Amino acid sequence: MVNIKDYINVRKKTKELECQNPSSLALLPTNFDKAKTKNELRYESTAQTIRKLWRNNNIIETPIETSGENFVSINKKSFEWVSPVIFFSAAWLSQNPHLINIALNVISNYLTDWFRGLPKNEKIAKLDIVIEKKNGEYKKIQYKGPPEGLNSLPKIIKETLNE
Amino acid sequence: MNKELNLFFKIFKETIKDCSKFCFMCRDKQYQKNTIKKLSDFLNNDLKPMKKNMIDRKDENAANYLLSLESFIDSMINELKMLIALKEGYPDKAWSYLISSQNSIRTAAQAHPISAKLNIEDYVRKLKFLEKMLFPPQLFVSVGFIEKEVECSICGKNYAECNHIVGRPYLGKLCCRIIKKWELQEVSIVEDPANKLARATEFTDNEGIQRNCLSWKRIKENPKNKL
Repeated sequence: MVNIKDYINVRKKTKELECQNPSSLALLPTNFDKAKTKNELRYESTAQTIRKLWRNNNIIETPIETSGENFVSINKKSFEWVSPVIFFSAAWLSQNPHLINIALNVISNYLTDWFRGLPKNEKIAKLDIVIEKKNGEYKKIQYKGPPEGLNSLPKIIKETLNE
Repeated sequence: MNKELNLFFKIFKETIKDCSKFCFMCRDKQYQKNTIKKLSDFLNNDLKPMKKNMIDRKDENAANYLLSLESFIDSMINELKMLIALKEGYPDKAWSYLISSQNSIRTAAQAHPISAKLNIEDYVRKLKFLEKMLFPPQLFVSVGFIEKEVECSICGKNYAECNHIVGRPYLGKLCCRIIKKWELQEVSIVEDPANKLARATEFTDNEGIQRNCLSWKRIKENPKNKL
């Protein structure tokens, strides 16, 4: 299941929160849009794992936290696998369109292994992607479903960019 | 895969085949107890020493292969224990064994691709079926918390700083995130929890009688039901 909706201006919000500007690919805390101060920011507990997967596959992230700064993670102990919000900047999307597939494939492959040994109806991943369009609009693409369905996201991202 | 492992896999499959015929509710519990003994002996006298040998040799693939087989046997043992516990009137223990069996079969599936040769998907379906057939729907407790300190189970370092990935096998062990310090945020009642062992065990009915959620027996009349 995919749901697409408008999202807040990420650059404006990072400035307000005194965070780093995510110039390429970044993870955003789950409550990024609602937090009033930097101290309130909370990542999903899966954020560290995604960072490692990207790092191990030479995918470079521009985090919103400064070097040495750590935002805490929240663990909701849900049976679903919930990702942090993944942000793709407009510049990164136009310069590296092929990397969208790689960045998402790394997660999709990991989830295929992660869900092994679970009944089919319990293999549910929730993934939120925020994309920055060239016209300054921001869209949030929410995915909920089996890991195989993540393969459809690059096409959906491209279609949303061209809308 | 080396010859040693191929030969071991044949013995493993014969053992599993021989023991699986007792994984049914109607089998006599003494046979099931004997089967647990047989599986435990195989695990402790054959499989674990071989796995240790592979770990000592730093043979990662073989160690993970054996982790998969080890977890499969552990799952079977827990399934048998569940059946026996139900027959002996301990439904709470039976539930815990079932969840341990499900967790072990998941480890077996995650540890190594050899699991594809063990019909694990069928086994997963069977355990889910037993969960629905043998136990009533339950209320589970889900805890939400802020992680303050998380350690990697493989290297003991801060999980964010090492390269190990949770859920992946490393030299015969599955990587886990160990939450060392945390701060409670919320406790909620859910139907589909991450941890099926966190559940309501007792309730008070409309007449004020305290009952066991699984057996329905009055708590005072059946103290052995309490874990």
